[in-house]
Amino acid sequence: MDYSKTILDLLKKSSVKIGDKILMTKSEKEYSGIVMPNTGSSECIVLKLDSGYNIGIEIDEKTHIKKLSEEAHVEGKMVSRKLQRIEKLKFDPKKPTIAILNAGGTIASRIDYRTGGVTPVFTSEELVSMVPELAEIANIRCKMVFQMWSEDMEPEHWQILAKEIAEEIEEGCEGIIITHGTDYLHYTAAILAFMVQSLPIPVLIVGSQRSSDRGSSDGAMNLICASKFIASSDFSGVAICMHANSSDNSCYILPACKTRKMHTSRRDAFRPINSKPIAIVDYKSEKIEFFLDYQKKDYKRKLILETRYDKKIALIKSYPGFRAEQLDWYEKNCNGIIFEGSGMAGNLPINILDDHTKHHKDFLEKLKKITEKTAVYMTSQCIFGRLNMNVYTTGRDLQAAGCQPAYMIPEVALVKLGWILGQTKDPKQIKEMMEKDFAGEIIERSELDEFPPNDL
Amino acid sequence: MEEKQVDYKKIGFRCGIEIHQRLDTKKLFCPCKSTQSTEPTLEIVRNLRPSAGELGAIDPAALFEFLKAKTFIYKLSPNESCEVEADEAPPHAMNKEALSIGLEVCKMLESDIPNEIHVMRKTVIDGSNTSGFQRTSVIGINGLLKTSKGNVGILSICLEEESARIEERTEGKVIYRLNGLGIPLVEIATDSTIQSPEHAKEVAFSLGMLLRSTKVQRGIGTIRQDINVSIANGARIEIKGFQQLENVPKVVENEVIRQLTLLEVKDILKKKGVKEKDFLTKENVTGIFRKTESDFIKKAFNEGSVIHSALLPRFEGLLKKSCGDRTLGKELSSYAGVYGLGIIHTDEDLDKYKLYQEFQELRKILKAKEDDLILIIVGKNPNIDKALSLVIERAKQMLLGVPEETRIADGEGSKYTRPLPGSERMYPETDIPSIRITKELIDSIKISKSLIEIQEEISKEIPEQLAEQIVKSPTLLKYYQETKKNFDPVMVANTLTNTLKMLKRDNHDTDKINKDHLIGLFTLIEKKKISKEIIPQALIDMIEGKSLGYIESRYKIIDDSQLRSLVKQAIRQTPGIKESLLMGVLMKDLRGTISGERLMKIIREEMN
Repeated sequence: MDYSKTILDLLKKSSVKIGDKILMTKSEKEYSGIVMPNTGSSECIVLKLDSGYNIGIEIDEKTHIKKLSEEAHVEGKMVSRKLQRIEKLKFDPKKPTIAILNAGGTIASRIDYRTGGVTPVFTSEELVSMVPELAEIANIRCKMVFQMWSEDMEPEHWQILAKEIAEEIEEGCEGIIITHGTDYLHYTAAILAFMVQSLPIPVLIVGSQRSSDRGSSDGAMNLICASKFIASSDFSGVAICMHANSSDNSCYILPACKTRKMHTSRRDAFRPINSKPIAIVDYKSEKIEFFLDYQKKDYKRKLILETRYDKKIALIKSYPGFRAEQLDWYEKNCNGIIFEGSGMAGNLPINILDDHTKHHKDFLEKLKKITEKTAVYMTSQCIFGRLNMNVYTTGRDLQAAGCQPAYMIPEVALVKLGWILGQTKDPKQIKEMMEKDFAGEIIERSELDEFPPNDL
Repeated sequence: MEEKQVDYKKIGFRCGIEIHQRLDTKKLFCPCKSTQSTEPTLEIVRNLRPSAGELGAIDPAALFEFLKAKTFIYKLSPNESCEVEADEAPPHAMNKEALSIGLEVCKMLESDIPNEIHVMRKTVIDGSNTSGFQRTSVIGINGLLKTSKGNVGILSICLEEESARIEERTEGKVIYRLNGLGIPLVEIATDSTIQSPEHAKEVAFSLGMLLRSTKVQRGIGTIRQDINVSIANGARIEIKGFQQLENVPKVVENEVIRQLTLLEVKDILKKKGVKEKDFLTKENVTGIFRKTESDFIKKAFNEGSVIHSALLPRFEGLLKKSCGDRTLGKELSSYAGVYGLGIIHTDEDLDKYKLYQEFQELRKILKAKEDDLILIIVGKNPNIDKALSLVIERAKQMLLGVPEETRIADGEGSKYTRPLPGSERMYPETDIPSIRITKELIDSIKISKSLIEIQEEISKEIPEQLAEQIVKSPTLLKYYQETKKNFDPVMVANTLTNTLKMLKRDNHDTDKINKDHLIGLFTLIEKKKISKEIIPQALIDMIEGKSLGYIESRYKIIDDSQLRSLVKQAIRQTPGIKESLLMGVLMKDLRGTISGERLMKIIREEMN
């Protein structure tokens, strides 16, 4: 946020720019410091004292400011840190080549004085210069694809990334790392697994939960573990690489279509859902242990690129009080709907039991109407566990109304449906494709140790 | 050592104090308690990396290598420390109570409070902060403290996070206890106008008393002082780790003497024309000492040690000079002490070490002149190399005077710990929006009376020595102030201090005594139901769970006629009883309620 007009006028009147050192006199009190960009409320001038601390001083009509010295470089110093540019790295034929595609996020971020938050700004080269270990593991080929918070991503960005992956493979590399914001990281992982199939090499999506402007950032270790995993395993396909626990000692390689961000802030926020991790990479010893079977690298394998996507889809969560008329807009505007229903069957409020539930009749009728021309699939808001729509009458009624089970994490079902609708609108084909396992997304067999225990 | 009377003004003495005080609130940026007791059950292993913030300020490569080799282990108990301390969640809003205590301190020190407080991140890479930085904020500037020698300026008052405490340090690994991290600290920094070592003690004492007038933690480790000292042509030296205020004047005085000596040595060396290139080192002179009779060196050889040597040009005699409580030789030796080693040199009595012959030999090898000084360091690789180079660097600095450094209080003096940290990298804590300090908020904060004022006040009611004891404890002070209005202040104060102390010494659990006990007891005395002398016994009874009703009936004051009828009754029941036996029987029941003397008098009257 900018300073208020009063402050801007006062600064202008005194020919003071942000970054200048000033002496401020206000009711016989004096404050001297460097005028900083506004990081507080707009009514206070933020001064950096000699001690390095910032304070905000409100101005009134009698406030006087005098320029002591110009230090125009201050803002630049604070905003763009001088990092050593990595020089053109020497190609080492003994090492594998890893292409790093920078798609933004906290992993490549720093302070923004405008919003007071952290914004992605580093170029990929800068990122590598911050993690010199990468060059010891592989020949690094960086490319800036786009800089953004993952929550701002649109399906078009997935399509760009998918094409970038294809290009990098064309150019030749042993693996690809995509640096990414963490909020929607698991959506990207899932859709890429559909858009870029039959991958000859690994594509790892990496984020960080602590921004890289702090010493405790987890980003570097995630990148290093991803690089080590690419360099020393024969895995291929899309996966996520993030901290395995709160300590800086190992990273999980997580399945693209069975992983979800399950914590707002922890380093190990990404957890396998209805699955084990693919593998664990030990940071210090570089030891890799696999828990799942996987498709091996094969540089000769031809990539299948299918990036078409229909954005006219929705993910709708049911809850007590949910009403049929809320679906009006979706009915008119969507080609596909994924419901996050309740419990094991993915139930929706369709049973009439008393006066309060009379309107549930409308819900079932609405659903029948929608399914006539829209693909409607059910998932469970329990997240963990497999859907079973046959156990209760409600589930059977829903199926009869045209709502089909999708044995997937809700978000995965969503992007899969968008991807299918991008290719076909034929109900039969849609159903066939939704039921087919393209990228390990289907929850088939649930093992007992896939649900996290609740004892510490 | 010659005693010098130092004219502090003349030598350009400058001294400032920084005090850190833990507040008695929840943590500054999360709702964890600030008191700690639970045994840790979890461990988190972390590494820190040079963040973009540091690059440019320090040689990044060196920093990188340094951090690469370090692993930090944090021990924690989940019911004590949460995700915030573990750097797994962003900070919550600043604790309001801590802020208001901080602002109260600002008001007490007449500081300007900014209209907006901006929390900053101060880069810390030793692992004591899981995030890699300490959260800190200036909440007051330009204050003043009144002292017996005029006002001392208060540069700044900060509200910041305490760091984690080191539990163990091993090669490449540091183990921290996480529970201390995040406790609110008020940091008061004075300007450098403190006039003398005694004045430094007064300022530290006054600030301590002022802080203790607010809601702060008490006890070991809850307050700490850092003192900055310099003299004209000397250098700023930061002394940390004062265990007791009593030591402040002596430590500061000895620091001044040390700086004066270093300046004198600099002049001597200049006059002698000593140059940096004249310093020599010769590593591994171990051979010369092979046949030594020195037990110390024989033992060191058994442990695989080697010996390095150095020549300090024309230094002969200089290491005997006084640096306050120690010689310049011992001072120089403390630099080797950083690596757990020490030096032996020709300004010492070498016969004592049985090393005279070997040093003569060394002199020849190093082609030393008569007035050159020779020193050796005995130790193992790689520490011995580091120690030798630090000692030689330090010796060379004697050509320049006083190097800036951080020292740690050590008895009556201090010793080197590390170079002064460079100006800390500071950038805004973007996870916490700036805090607007309104006039209403400032006005709503009431200033607690300073403990010094309170002590002066209550000294008018009770003896000085009792007053001093009372103000030391917030609980006692509270009891005293709540009860003195209705009861005799001296009785109250005596009970709270001397009586309770005595009971505690006799292993009575005085923690069981509460305000209601005391008020009940004092009321009985005030109403003349029981006598003052009963207080200790009554308190013991109360600790054992006896009721006030019991105390009243058990120790009821008995008047002469009541006593007389008791005695008569006893004589009637056991005719012919001996005087002493009767006394014993009655005293058993009446102990505490009457004096033996009074009972005896009545027994005698009745028997006769």
